[in-house]
This record gives sequence, structure tokens and C-alpha cells, in this order.
Amino acid sequence: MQKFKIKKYIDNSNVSRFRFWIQLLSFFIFVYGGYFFIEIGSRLPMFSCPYVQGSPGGCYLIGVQHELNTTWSSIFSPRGISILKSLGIFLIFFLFLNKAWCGYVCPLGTLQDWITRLRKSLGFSFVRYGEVRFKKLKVIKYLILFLLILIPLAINNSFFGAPKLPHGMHTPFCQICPARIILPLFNGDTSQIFVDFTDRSTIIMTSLGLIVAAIFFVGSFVKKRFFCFFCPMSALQFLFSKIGFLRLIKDGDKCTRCGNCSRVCDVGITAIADDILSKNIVKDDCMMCFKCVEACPEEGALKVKVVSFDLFSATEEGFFKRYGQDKDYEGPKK
Amino acid sequence: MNKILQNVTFIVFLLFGLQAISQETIWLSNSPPDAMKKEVKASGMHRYSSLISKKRGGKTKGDSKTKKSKYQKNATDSTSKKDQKSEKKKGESSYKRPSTKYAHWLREGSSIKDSKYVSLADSTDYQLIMMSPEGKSESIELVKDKASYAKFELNEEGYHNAYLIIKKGLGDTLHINISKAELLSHSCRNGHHKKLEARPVRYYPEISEFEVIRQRHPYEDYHFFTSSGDTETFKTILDGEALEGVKVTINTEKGWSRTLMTDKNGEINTEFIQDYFSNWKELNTRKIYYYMLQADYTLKKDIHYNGKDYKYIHYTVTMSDGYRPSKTMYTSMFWGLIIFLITTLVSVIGVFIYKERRKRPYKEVRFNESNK
Repeated sequence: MQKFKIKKYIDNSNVSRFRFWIQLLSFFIFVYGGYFFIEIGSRLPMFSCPYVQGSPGGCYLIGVQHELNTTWSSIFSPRGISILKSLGIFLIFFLFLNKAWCGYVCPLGTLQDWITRLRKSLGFSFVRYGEVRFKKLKVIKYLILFLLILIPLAINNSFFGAPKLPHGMHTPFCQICPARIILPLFNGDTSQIFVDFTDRSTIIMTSLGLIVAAIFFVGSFVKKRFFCFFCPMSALQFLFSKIGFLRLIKDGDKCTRCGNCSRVCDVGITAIADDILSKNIVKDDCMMCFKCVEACPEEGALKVKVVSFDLFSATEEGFFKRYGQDKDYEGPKK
Repeated sequence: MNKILQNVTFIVFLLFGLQAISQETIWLSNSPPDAMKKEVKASGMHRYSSLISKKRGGKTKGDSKTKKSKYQKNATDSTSKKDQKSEKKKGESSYKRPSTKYAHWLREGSSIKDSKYVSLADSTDYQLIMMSPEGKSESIELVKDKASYAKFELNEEGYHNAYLIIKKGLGDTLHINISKAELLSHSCRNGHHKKLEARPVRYYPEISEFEVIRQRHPYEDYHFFTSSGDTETFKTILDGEALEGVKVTINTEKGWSRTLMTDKNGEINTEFIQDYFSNWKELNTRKIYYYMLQADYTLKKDIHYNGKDYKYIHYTVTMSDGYRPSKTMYTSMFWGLIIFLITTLVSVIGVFIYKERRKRPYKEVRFNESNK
């Protein structure tokens, strides 16, 4: 009986409010945690940027770029084991929260949510991509992921006789990542706002980084979770999301295709409403914020599961409570 | 008369000679001799130690194609034999454990500019010790060649301390020359688990009574390197206690020199000058210039050493490291801000135009319901 009460309490709760506090705490830990001697790890599946002085950990992407900045002979020697080891550590971290790392923990994602709040409070309207543009743009993150693997390799190895890339392009994604420039600002560190005039490659990469950072601010102001749409970490996570312990499950038989879930989705995923065949509904752009579950009025149509255990389910009562329409709720359907 | 004059001249020259011997300072240099500069690779992350052999599993380019120098041949031959023996003992397969050897060369002189690469005489009374970041003794070997060098491996991540201690009695003074090297072992490829452990500094009074240490910066990590314009703090320590009034001389590769006395905390603060001036096209931001630091202190203490009694101990401690061109020389925050602001402005205008174009003019549609 107690078990049902707890389940009911969770199902009726406001997850977005809970998420706000988790994000705030995570932001504090991943931007200032190092000052409190917190050490989490260096292969984390989100932007815990090592350029931030107070960061307690490191993002996996910087590690993988460093590791691949070597020769083929080194990669295919026992040294290559360290690459697999890093991937293993990344996966261990990733499996627990799956893509919820983006929705709940990533400081850059949190920052975008705060910019969205600011926009709302100022009364500006937001932009949503159309169906066709959505499909075209989502490819970009895979392209960036491919390049961040290819470029470090091409610095030390020649591909088909082509000249090697200059050393100035090392850790190419970090050089254009807005986290490198923006997150240190929260530590009062402005040292990442610079153009490196060493050679052409460094001028291009550092300038590109500043351009991306500026677009990040403007983009996040008009589009919810603007950068997540192009984030290579999101693409990498999706490759392993099927084996994550945390799952978002849909029961197509219970779905009425009302479209509430896709309307509240910050990223604008329409498949969550349209796809009634898939059970695992985690898409590559999903950040597992579970707003869709909150907005679903159909009993058990959407569920958050930890492996096979139901953690949070869509309920009619929860829907009415969260949206302040308790009076309209007439009790469970018979 | 001539004989007396000859004898006096001989004695004067002898005294000058002895004086010269007593002032010779041996120090450990991370820069290889000119003859080896093409063959020896500088490795920045490892506190600019020089790489003399590199084996990663199979044959490296250098093993098969490049002709090895006399120095390099000696170094690699001796290590490979040892490696092979140990591998046979362990019964391992033909794979050779990744092993990277580094070297620090012995130089003699009180300034970088005038120091020569020397070979240590067999009769020299010396101790060569290396301590790991965890404070454990490590293997280090002195290769006596045309230019002698200390050869070592850096496996454990962190700062390793190497000491070459040479003792020599002269008159009533025992001269102790301590050549110290702080060697950083770090590879980003292995992750950054111990990033905060660049501090604190380790020193070993039980090995070297007199020592000089470079104080770490508050947020220093393993990626840190000294640049022109940076202020560094060095501390002199005698038997584990800070020592005031020690003469410390710093000189750089280009001949700049500065002498300071330590304060009551045993510290000196010095700013590194800009030594690097380059044409824009030839700018090398990883260019390393070397500095050498020497601290001298005489202690009145009766000591018995090698069957002789001495009234004084004269300590000379040396330490050398590198520094790079200042970042402000080749980076611009001004241009960074300009690019950032222009992009922001262009993006805002772009978004505004986009939104304006999506607005549809108001069009009133009226339905006449009576026609239905």
C-alpha cells in the first residue's frame, strides 16, 4: 500500500520543478566543485569543461580528441587499450543516466534553459524548426562528431597521401565549443576570449570558437536548447542510448496522438507524438527531461523506467494536478 | 732571481687554478649538446627533458631508418639489453613494454651562455638520486660519455626530483654541489585524474640538506608552463627550514642575469624577461628558452668527511628549467571581443529579419452566416 502511495506521489509530482533544482545543483558542482576538492572523473558524458578552473571533471570529448591525436601505429599498439578504457569509463557513467545527462546535469544545457527563462520573462516569442529543416539540421551533430574524430587523426597521419593537418587544429571541437569560452566566465575567467595569431589554423579555429559562442547566446535566446541540436555529445550518446539503464517507454496503444508531448518538447521532437510503433522512444535529439511524460494525460502511455522498474508514469491525475486543473479531474476512469 | 720569479708565478697560477676549480658549478641541463640537437627530441610536457630513445611495441622510424649518434647508440643499446633480459626472465612474449628514456646533460659553468657539456671524471665522488612523486626512490643512471648525462624513465604521473650531489674538499671547506632537476611526467592521453596534484612541492632534506624549490602557483596544474612576464617564486631550504640571506643568481640562455637575496621566508620573486623576438611568419609559440638558477650558501660547521676535517660547508644548488614566449605576444583578447560582438550583432539582425519576414499582414476574413 505504501509502495503505491509513493508511486502515486511521484507520478503526480512536478518533475520540471525537481529538474530545476537538480540542474542548479549540478551547475554549481560542475563549475565550482573543483574549489571544494570534488573530483568526479575525466570521461564524463556531458560538458564538464576542463578549461573551467573550478571544474571537478572532464568531458569525454576532450579526452577522445587527445587520445586520437597520435599515429596509427600507436593506436594499434597496446596504447590503444587506453582509448578503449576511456570509452569504457564514459559508458559506465553514461549507462546510469542515459541521455538525462543532457537534461539534468550538463551545465551548458542548464545555461540554455536559463536563457529561455529570461526570454520568457521578457516576453519574446521563440522559434521552432519546420519538419524539413529539422531533419536536415539534425545531421550536423553527426558531421561534427565525425570531424572531431577525423581531424586529430589527420594531424598525425596522412590520409590517401594528403598532407597532414596543422597542429593548431588539435582538439578541434574544444576550440569551437561554446563551453570553453562561456563556462570559465562563471569563474571570473575571461582568458578564453582570444584570437590566437600563431598561424592560419589557430586564427581560424579560435575565431570560429568565438563566432559559435556568440551564435550560442543569440540562438539560445530565440530557440529552446539551440546548441543541443548540434551537439556531438548528443550524437555519441545516442549510439549507446539503447543500453542505458534509464529508459523512456511509450505504449502506442494508449496514445491518442493529442500532440501534447511534442508541443512541450524543448528540442521539438515530433516523432514522440507521431511514432506509435516504437517502444523505446528516446530519439537522438532527446535530452530525457521527461516534460513529455508530465504533459501526457493518458494513463501509462509514457513511462520512465530504470531497466524494468517503473519510476515515473504519465497519469491523468498527475496531468491535471501539474497543469493546475485539479477541479476538472473527476477521478480515475472506470 | 729568475727561479724565485718562476716559483712565484707557478704558485700564483696554482692558486688561480684552485680558485677556478672551487668555483666550477655542475648543473643538469635539459638542453642537449648542439651535435645531438637534430637527433634528440624535446618533450614539452616533461619539463623539457630530452628524449633519447622511444620504443612503442614495434620498430620505430628511428630504429630502422635514422643513423644513431654515438651518444644515442650507447643509451639505446644498454637499455635494450636490460629490457630483453628482464623480459626473458618474466617469460613475456616478444612485445617490448613501452619505454621512454629521458636525459639531462651535465654542464659546467655559472651561466648558461658560458657552460660547456662535460664528462664526469671517474674519481669524482658523486651521488645520483631520483625520487618519484610519491617520494619513493627511482632508478637513474649516469652515462659517462663525451658529454655525460643522467638517464631515467618517467612512468608515474607527477613531478619527479633528480639530484646529482658532488662533494669535494678544498682547504678547510667541503664543497657540496647539488644539481637538481624537477621533471614533470604527464600525458593528456592518460587523462587528468590527478590534475590538482601539481601541488604541493616535495623536497627531501634527508637526501639534500640544502635545496631550492620553485613554488607552485595557486591554480597550477600539469599543463602549466612559465612564460615571459610571469613572476616565479623560489625558496631556499636548509634541513627542511626556510633560509634567509642566500644569494640566488638566475641567468637565461641569452645572457640576462639577476642576483637576489632571499627574504625571511627564504624566498625570492623574479619576473622572467622576454627573451624571444621573432618575425611574425617564423613565430614559434612553443619555443623554449632556458634559465639556470644557482644558490650559494656557506655554513660554519665542523665536519669529518673522507678522513679529513673541514670547518665550513659551502653549498651550491642549481636548477634549470625552460620558459616560453608570453601568450600576450601572439594572442589578442581585443580581436576576440570584436569578433564576438560583430557575430552577436549580425545574429541579432539576422533573427530580427527572419522574424519580420515570417509575419503575415493582417487579413480580415468575414463570413456571412446568413448565406448558409
